[in-house]
Amino acid sequence: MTSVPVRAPDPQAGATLAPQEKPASSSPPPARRSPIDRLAWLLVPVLAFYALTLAYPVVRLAAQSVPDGDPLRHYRTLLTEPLYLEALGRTFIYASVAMLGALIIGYPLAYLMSHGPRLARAVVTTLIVIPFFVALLVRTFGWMTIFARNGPINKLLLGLGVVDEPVQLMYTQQAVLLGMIAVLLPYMVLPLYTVMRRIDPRLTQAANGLGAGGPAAFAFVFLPLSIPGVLAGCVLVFMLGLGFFITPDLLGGSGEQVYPVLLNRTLTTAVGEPAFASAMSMVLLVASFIVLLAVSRVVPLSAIWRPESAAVSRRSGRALDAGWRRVNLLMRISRLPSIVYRAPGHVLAGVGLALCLVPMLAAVLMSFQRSTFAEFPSTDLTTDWYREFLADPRWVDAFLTSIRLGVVVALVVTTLSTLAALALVRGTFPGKDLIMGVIATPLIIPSVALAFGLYLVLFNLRLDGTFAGLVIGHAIPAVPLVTLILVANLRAFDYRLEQAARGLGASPLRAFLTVTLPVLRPGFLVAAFFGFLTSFDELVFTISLAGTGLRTLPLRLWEDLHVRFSPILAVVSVAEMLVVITVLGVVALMMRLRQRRTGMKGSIL
Amino acid sequence: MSSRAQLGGAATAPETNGSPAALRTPVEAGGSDGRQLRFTGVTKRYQDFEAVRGFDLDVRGGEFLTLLGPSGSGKTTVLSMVAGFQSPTAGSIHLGGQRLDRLPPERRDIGMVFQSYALFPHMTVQRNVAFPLRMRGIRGAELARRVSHAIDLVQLGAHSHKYPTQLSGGQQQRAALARAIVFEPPVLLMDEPLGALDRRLREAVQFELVNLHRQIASTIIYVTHDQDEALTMSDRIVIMNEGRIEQVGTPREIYASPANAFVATFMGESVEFRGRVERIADGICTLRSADGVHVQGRNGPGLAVGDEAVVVVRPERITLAPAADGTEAAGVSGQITEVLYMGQRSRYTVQIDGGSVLHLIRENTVGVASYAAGDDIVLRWAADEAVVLR
Repeated sequence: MTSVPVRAPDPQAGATLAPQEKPASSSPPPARRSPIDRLAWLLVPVLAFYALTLAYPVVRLAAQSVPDGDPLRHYRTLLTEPLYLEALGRTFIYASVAMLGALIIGYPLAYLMSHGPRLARAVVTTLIVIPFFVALLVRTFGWMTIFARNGPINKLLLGLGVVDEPVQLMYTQQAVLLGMIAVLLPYMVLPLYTVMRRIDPRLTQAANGLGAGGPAAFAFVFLPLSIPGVLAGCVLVFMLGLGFFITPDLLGGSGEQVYPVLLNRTLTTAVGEPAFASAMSMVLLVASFIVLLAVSRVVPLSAIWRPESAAVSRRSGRALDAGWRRVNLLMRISRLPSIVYRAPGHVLAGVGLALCLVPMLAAVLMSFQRSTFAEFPSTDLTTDWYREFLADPRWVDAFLTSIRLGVVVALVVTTLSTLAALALVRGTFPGKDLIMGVIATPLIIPSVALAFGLYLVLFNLRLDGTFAGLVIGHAIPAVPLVTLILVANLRAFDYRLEQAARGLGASPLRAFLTVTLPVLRPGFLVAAFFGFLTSFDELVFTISLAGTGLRTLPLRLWEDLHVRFSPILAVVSVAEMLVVITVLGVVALMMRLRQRRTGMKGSIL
Repeated sequence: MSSRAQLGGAATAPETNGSPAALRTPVEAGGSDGRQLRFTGVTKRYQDFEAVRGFDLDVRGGEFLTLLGPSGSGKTTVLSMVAGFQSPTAGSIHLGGQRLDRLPPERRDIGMVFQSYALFPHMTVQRNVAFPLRMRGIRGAELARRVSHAIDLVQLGAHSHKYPTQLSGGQQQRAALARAIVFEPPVLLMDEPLGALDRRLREAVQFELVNLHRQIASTIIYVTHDQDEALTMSDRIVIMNEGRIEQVGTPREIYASPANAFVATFMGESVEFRGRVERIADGICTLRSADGVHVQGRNGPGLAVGDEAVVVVRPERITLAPAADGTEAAGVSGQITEVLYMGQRSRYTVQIDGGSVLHLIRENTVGVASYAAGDDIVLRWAADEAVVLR
């Protein structure tokens, strides 16, 4: 929110993962009309990449899923067998519960991050950024140590005398749901925070001054303005929930599983039946597509990557006309001591923080435990597991492979995304919004449904089980993220600087290289680091593409978790967290540097 | 904060909806006026810095009072404490005899126009203006009547269905104003409301605000750092500096008789001569400046012979004459070193004999002699047109 509203809203202002934007003069002036701007060619590499890794795999899946003879055999099985139907239904229920749970907990958390007291704001934001980038797998591992039979929850219950013997926590529905809410929570908080940060705190003050007590000001002013973030977060978490198998697989055991878990197990075990695996993938893809279609009737899908669009909040403003009747009730609540109506939010935010941090702390604590089977936590500490980790070439190799892979992915993806971002920000051709939507697709469609299709394509290219194959797989989730960051960065750039360079005699290319690039360099580095982290944490495509030889750190961790449970896995988790924290530290430093040098503000989120 | 207010202020709060409307009658002479605002020793301290110190002021019911001062002088903090967005560290604020500073903002019934307007972006102008009335439980025909009355007052009728982002800066300003007056608050606060407008528009809106003030009869507390704005609109001006009140008075008093050097230099252009007091007689004080020049002015409070002081003269009170005009009257002689032509006016740079340099602005009107660089001149003013200050 700027104090002087800018007229003529830019049709694609802002992005979800956006550094703070300058309100004015950041977009290039409309150039002479030409049907296809030359800049549009810069999109070719990205679109070619998407054709190879998104479109073609889907075609392959579709073709593969209809065997000769009885083409619809597998679909019939999937749509009649209770095992699969129930799993599909369960998936929708779990995704809904995760979405609602994450919303209820994430909303107060995002509020605290954007409008809380200054200290709380800084602390909470820092604490939430780290879990956002720590791998899902590692955080799920943390939950496994907490839910364990000899784990802290059972220890507490026994100690308090609530139960006489340890309760079964692992492999229960409750564990899966709690784990899903906790692990997906950051994806709810991020869009909420992006939207809330733009809500001018003076609007709430103004509402107070005009006679609206805290609850009324919240209900009539803050809440409607935050609705775009709510919608974006809900769509994101629900879609992620539909394709989510890591946490349910590990916390849920073998019975009563969700569909993506069955799909992943089919992919990794029943390789003999590629047609069935393809049909399974297609069912999940079609189901997600139907959901997206239904959602897009209510929310423009572009709201997911730019949740601040004004149209949505206007609609929620009109919806208020029905809500005014509640004003007396709200005013009565306002008369209560503020602690009464603030307490629930504070409690929920505390729960949210705990859900994010406790599993990571548990993993750290676990890595220092001497015994594998005894009670956790215990005071019998050791660093032996760290020594064992460093002495085991399996782990060290996996760690180094992940780092190498991350660096290559970061370079490749940043190159692709820079070209795309330049075209999308500077270009003057029709359909930019649509192309942005295409580029964002991997963020919202289930990777697990694509994984087998990609495997088929790479197998034909003899890239399966190779380093290059993994680079391609890891680039799929990295491209949309890095492109969104770069688009936001380029938009924030003061275009007049480049105009000034042109006016002083520089050619367009020279102006870009000597003025734009140096100013934006920290932004590029930040984007590249996020590309690195995406690859470093990637597991879904890795499972399908790694073959038998290559092992990344998350993949090795995932495989070992299914075999044995040892504190050395906690050490692996700690190693992963350390890499993430180091990278985030560097990113934060560069953000500060950029702000000092160019005055462009930004935050990691 | 609001829990305390619940205990401490509930009984005195304007409980009934729309009650301030009853106070809208003209000021009853001498009686307690619900629009009177009293500050007693109001202090706002942050960790290591006092934004407002010992602020004492009585604001009369229905007056247009301007808080004027440089940025950081504490004027916006005073406004925030009246609105309830900040609470005083010490002291109290009373409105119409009722303690105000312990009430939460929503119970104070005070209108405020924010510098940024703070219009709700998800509501049309009409819904924005209706907001404070709805919060007071007003609905139906009464709501519609009062909303359209307020919108008509600010002449925004044609735009009432637009959203704030669809309005120009001036229209947004009016919408914010309509929203602040629609519930007829006894006090209306305005925090640099014209700051975001361009100069021409600002002047037009100044007159509209003064007109509006006559119609609504609320006490207005207006914050600005623009002296012209303060002089044109206010009944009284409070000059603030570093959290303190430097002077309170009508625009004329403040301009013609500044209480101290800060007020003199802050309010408009002034020409200053520093020196030591040589003689005080008949309320006229004579100073001898370091350059050896004698200058005179009205004696300020607490001055004695030998004190360091400064004579402050408004440039338009100074007459310029050629050096060799043969007049007896004493004056300060000097030479014009530079003339800057500015259309309606000219700006002369004058070097006083003895060294110091000063600037004078003269209207280029008929009958006023103009000078060129190099001319020797004499500056004269009537002794009671100048003030001698510490």
